[in-house]
Amino acid sequence: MNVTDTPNAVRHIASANRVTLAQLVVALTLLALLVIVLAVIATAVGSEHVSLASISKIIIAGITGRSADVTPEQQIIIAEIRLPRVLMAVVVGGALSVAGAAYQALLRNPLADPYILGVSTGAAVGAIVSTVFAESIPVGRPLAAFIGAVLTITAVYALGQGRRGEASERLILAGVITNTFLSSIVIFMLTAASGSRLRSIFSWLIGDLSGEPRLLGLVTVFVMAGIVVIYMNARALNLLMTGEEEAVALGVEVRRVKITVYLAASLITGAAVAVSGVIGFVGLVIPHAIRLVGGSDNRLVIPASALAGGALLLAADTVARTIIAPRELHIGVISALIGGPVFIYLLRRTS
Amino acid sequence: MRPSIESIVALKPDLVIASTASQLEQFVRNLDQVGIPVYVSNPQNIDGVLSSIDSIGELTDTTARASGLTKELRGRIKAVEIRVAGAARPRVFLILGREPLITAGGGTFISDIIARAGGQSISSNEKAAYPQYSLETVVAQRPEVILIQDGERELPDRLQQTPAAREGRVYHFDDGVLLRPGPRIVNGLEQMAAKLHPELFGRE
Repeated sequence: MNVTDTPNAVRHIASANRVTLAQLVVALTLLALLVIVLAVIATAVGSEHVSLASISKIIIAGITGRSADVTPEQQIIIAEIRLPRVLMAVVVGGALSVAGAAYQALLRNPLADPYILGVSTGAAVGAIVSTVFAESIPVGRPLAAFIGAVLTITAVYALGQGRRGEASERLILAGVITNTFLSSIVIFMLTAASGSRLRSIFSWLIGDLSGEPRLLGLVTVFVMAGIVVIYMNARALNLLMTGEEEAVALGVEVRRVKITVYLAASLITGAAVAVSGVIGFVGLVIPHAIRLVGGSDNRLVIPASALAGGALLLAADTVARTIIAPRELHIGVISALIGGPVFIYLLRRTS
Repeated sequence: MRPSIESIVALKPDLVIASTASQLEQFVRNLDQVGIPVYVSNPQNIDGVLSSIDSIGELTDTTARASGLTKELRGRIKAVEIRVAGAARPRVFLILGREPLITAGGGTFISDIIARAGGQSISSNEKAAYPQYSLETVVAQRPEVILIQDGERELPDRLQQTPAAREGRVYHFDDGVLLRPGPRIVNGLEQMAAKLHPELFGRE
């Protein structure tokens, strides 16, 4: 792909096919239904069989605060293993997709996403540092991941500046190099800290959702807040995608919008990476798929990416933990295997 | 591991004993060409350890000492097996890594030790040597003993309600004793049997 060409996304936005409220409501309702259906399926399947009757008893008991008439093992499997993991997949998938949509709009570059720009790996470095040095502080891990993400995007942005302002390929190259560099730091830190625990290194670098859900509540709050902030800037991002000077002329406070959205995108990337490691592909594919189907109005792209990204990662994680059960696969493998063909299909259908 | 052929040749060894090496076949062929014999020993169970002790004894003209050692080890193994024979076999789950959850499959050394020490590993049907394993399967299988490799931290939160955790039968183990194929493996077997069957061996 020639990244110096005016990207499709930008051309789309220039001709600004703005969504109507009705279209927005229909699209988001359909996507929300998809997430709910997938969540029901994902809760019902696993390496161990738990009947639907028992699952509903556990959920109803959880809501009403009573204890369910099921075995203690079933209770733990559904309430403490499957449900938190389902929620985690939706939150992480939504976060990475919205971060991808935000970076693509800010950088006016279709290849920008938290993984390719190195932001996810930067967040992983932050998360690992906090795990090694300050494990007892629960808020430390997502916060350190956020700091890692902000530092990385700042460095990539600075490295990507050419003599004549921003240049697309410089920026992506800066991201790729930074990502490689940070991956080496991840490997170094984990080797030095715990004596060559290769599986743990692998999990951080390719992503895994099997970890303890202790941080789920905190991470959900961070991600929701970040998505709301980015959504509030959707109109400004629309104008920004047509060009910075045009946006200024139309009364957008470009500097404020950029800083706000960068920080929010880094916050949600950091929060997601803190619980899942680095999952590539979602942040790139989902916003593109949404734009191909629904146009590039960010008022649609951002919330639709949140839901579609949640759906993709939930589907991927459910496959990862059931396909060779009782063994588990890494989710990054599955998300790429599902996302790749879907993306190619959408690309060919519309072009 | 990638041993340096040059350094090995310079040391003029009479015999090289290798367990694993990257491109092992090429490594053996190279040493063979310069006239250095290589014995490859990579046992996957306790019997394999005993027979490789015997073979190394033959190769180093210390047959008598080697067979003395294997005789003693066989006696100790037999003693353990006799004691645990007929006893109920507790379900065992082994944690080699916590996040992600890594255990040992059926064909591994440690799986052989658990079986001979009178236990049954939850993951013994698993063909992969060191698979990432489903936490919900572990919960559903209700392990009575959980073994955690030294260096890993405490038990995962969601295994706190297993019979093993409730009855205080979660143990850390030293991988030097349980995972390395050598004469010490029999110490590992005796320690394992004592942990799996305190009623037969008395609490330590």
